[in-house]
Amino acid sequence: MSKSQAVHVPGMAKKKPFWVRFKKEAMFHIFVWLGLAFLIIFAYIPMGGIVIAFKDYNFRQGIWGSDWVGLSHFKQLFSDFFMGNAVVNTLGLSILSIGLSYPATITFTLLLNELNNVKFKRVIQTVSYLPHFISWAIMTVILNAMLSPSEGIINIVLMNLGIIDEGIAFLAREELFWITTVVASIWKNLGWNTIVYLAVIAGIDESLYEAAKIDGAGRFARMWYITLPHLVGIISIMLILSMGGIVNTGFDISFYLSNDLNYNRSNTLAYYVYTMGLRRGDFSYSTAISFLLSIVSASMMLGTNALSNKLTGKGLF
Amino acid sequence: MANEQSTRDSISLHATRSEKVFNVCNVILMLIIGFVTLYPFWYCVVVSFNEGLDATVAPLFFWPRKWSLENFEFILTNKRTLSGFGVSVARTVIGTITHVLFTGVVAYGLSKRWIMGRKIYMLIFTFTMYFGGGMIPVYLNIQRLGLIDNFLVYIIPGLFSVYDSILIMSYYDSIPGALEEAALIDGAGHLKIFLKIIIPASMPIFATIALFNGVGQWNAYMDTVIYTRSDSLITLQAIMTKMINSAEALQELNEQMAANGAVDGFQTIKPITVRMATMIFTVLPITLVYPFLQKYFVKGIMIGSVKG
Repeated sequence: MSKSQAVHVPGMAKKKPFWVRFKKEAMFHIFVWLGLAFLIIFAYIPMGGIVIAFKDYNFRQGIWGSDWVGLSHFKQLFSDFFMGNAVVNTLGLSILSIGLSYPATITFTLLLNELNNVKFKRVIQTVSYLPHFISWAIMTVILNAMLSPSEGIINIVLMNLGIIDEGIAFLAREELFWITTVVASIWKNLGWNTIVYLAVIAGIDESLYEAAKIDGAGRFARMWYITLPHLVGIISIMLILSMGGIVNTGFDISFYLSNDLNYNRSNTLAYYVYTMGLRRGDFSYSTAISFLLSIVSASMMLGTNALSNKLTGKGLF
Repeated sequence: MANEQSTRDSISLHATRSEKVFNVCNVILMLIIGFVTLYPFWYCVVVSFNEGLDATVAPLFFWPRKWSLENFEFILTNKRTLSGFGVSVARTVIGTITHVLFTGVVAYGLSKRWIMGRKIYMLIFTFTMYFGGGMIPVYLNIQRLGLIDNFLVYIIPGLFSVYDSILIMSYYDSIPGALEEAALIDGAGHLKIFLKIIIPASMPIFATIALFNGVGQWNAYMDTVIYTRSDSLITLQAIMTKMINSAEALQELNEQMAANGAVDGFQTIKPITVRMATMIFTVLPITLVYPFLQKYFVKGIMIGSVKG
């Protein structure tokens, strides 16, 4: 912090001895160390706790005192029916969710973008962002109210239209669980997810549209040949980002909406970690599952990123 | 935006017939989406203002059949919901402020790309974004730190986020370096520069991070469910969660009502309407601040997606 200190240039700084250099940078290092201390306490020490996946944890002996059991929890995992069930549900939910939410979001974005009245467009945007901010507890209250077989408006409308004869218990029937919760999640995030795409569209050169119009391109041609190609990059980035989250799909949904009737379709991996660990108290087994999930999630991120780099030249890192 | 608009207007001036049809259909579709988004909220408002007994008789749609403020009276005089509201407000305010301060400070250290060992620092930081200990090791750690059933469990584990620090860092990068250089030449120290120049210039990003973190704090429920036991630490979200998840909680509420009813005159109150009133009470703060903060979250999500 001396007065003679000039602008920092990497090449220049390197010539100075370690201690002199460190003294000048001391404040920045102290700032970083605060974060480092936090991460050691709240991220790296828990990572060390993963050893209990290879032990038989019991409360009295603690993490280090419990007996080693090697890979037995991981072996158990492969013959566990509910584990396989959770894998199927998690994959099913994420594939259905990605398959439906991307087309819905992109269609909604394009249609929003075609609105001529800026004020109307803004009102629709503001309204559509709102559900993103509510918690899953509130979501559950809303879903229970809307989907109730006897009093829910959806069933009443369907019955009045003559489509169904009696109310459908959307949340209690296991074969309807995925589609119901995926549609609910789309309701919650449809507007919010358009923000990124709308921002990219706002950055497209307006002269492209002018030129296309002169060449006789209609509204749909312009959407198809100009707007959509500009969105490919951001769509692939969003897809990569969602890959890392796949193994954690559905925790809130399972936590709030899972019950004995729909368990076969509502038991997801993240929720299974919770039920095994904190509900049943099998700490070691739960940790074995979450450890495996962490590895899968990290490799999926890296894998899709590499793939995206190869195919489109656009990746995250 | 304005530019875009003028071109759009010129398009619509000589719109063909099919384009006009498209525009009308599009507006109708948007109105339907708007309705579908808002109706569930409206429905909950309707039920919460309806008398409990009456609401169980026949379904409600657009307007309360039998107006009543009893539900709100009940939750506003209920010690549990009031204390839950207090805890939710406290954790949101304290948690958000400390998170932004702590993360902002760490991000400033990291934003200096030329400091020694920065690559190693970044590696240690970003690794935690992709890999973690998992639910049980984290729980055991919290237990060992003495944070079980302690208000600080809402604050300390949320002090820092690597993701947010990367967002803040990229904002610091956008502040012209000339500002800092000039201050250095004038003899200001690094700390003074940080406090007097960087922090005031970074208010937009702090507000953005605070918004996201604040909503997260307000909506959080797992930490209450997992780490706390005492009634004095229960949050509004956890109260909602209990009302949803267990029949016993509703039963308890019923008995409480029966007991209160005899004393306070809550005769016609029912769990279903009380639950709706609690829900409205829980969403209200978010919907109230929401319109004012809109410009920040659009900015925030953009920084996030550009940075990846």
